[in-house]
Amino acid sequence: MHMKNMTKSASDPIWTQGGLLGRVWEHLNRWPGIGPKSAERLLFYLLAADSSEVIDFAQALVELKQRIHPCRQCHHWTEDELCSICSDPKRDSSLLCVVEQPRDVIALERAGVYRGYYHVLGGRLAPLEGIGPEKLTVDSLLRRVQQGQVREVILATNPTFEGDGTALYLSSLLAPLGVKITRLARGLPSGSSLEFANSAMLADALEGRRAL
Amino acid sequence: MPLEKAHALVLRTSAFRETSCVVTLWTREFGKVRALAKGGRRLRSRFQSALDVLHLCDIVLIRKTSAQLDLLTEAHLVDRFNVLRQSLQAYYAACFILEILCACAQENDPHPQWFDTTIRTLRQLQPPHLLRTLLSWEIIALRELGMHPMLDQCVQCKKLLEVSSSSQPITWNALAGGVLCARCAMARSGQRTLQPELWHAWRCIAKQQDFEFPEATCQHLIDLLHDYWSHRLEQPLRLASYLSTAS
Ligand SMILES: [Zn+2]
Ligand SMILES: [Zn+2]
Repeated sequence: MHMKNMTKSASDPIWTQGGLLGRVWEHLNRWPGIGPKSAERLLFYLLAADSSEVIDFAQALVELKQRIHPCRQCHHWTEDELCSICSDPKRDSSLLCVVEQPRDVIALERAGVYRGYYHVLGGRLAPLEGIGPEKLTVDSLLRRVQQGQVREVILATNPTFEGDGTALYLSSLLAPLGVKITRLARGLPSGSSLEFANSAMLADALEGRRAL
Repeated sequence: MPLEKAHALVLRTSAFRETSCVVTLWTREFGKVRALAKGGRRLRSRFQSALDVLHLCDIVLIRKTSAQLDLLTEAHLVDRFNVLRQSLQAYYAACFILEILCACAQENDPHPQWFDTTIRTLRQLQPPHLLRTLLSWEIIALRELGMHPMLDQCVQCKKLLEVSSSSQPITWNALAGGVLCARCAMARSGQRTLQPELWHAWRCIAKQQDFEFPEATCQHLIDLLHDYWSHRLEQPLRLASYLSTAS
């Protein structure tokens, strides 16, 4: 693997000579998971597709950027002032689950077992990259907890070095507020077997064991 | 292409394409190594969850020529240093170690003893001796890098320093790389005075003498050392402020 291949290659002489086709191809080529060949396939798909479908897609993209913004309360994406989760009164207001990204809210909602509210940090602390608490929604998290309804804060940042550091930092701020602070359990993935688990997974699974 | 085994500490990972990553490793055997881990970001990859920052791993890699990335073929997690996840100060201290390693580790420049000390330090970073443990590591790191300042003799004229009374402050010049005698101090600018107890503490730790210091002395010494590091590395250290306020 040569160093110059590290960044996504945008060099395809057929498409980089400009013109409208080249312009659309370059946009598609920049998308995550889309290489030069896939960009080409998508471009031809758009050309062949029903024009009302493509125009509808283009308009939806424009509206996406104009109307979707962070929820005033939890910072998850929404079209309204409050997202559909924050405006749902049937949820358990004593539980607040703190995640790094809106994608994590989607993942947890898909699991379908959590009935409390969320707080999206907008990233994780990365002291070496200069990402401090001021770049995240930490202040607004503290204000929410200080309002007094929350009894338990679930720190669901990623189980990585930086995610763990972020959880440590948050728990140091939340501890004086008198709420229960928990961290998502970690360890063995469901459907795996002990035989193939590494020592860290086993250690985590043992540490997070619970009574049956 | 030869297969090589190594002990490695993960310094950095960055995403590459959809499922792979490029890892920067500090190895006991080869110094800094940058390697491609194909499929390294998949949950069920053969690397499992070994490739995260400050994980100690046993690795197998295919070394390439200088212009190319090495190829990581195996990584087995040995230690993820759980003490770092139990105190915020330990976490910041580990981030500081990481910052120094990222700035100073070089390719094809192994430091096996410093590597072993680092692993030991990462296992021991916990209150109440956290700052003292970090200080020891920093002094060993400065030595290994050939950056340790002169403490016993004037950095300019090499005259042996006479510390007659315990209250007499010592002239310290981070830029010059050590202490100055009274005469040389007159001729230079940019110095500060070093309280004798800090000077004693630094020498004690450098000589690995078992000696208890007040927490405040350790904290002042940490600040002094971080100022010195940033002079030597010619860049401010991001973690320095975390450690001077985290205590
Ligand atoms: Zn919301
Ligand atoms: Zn002198």
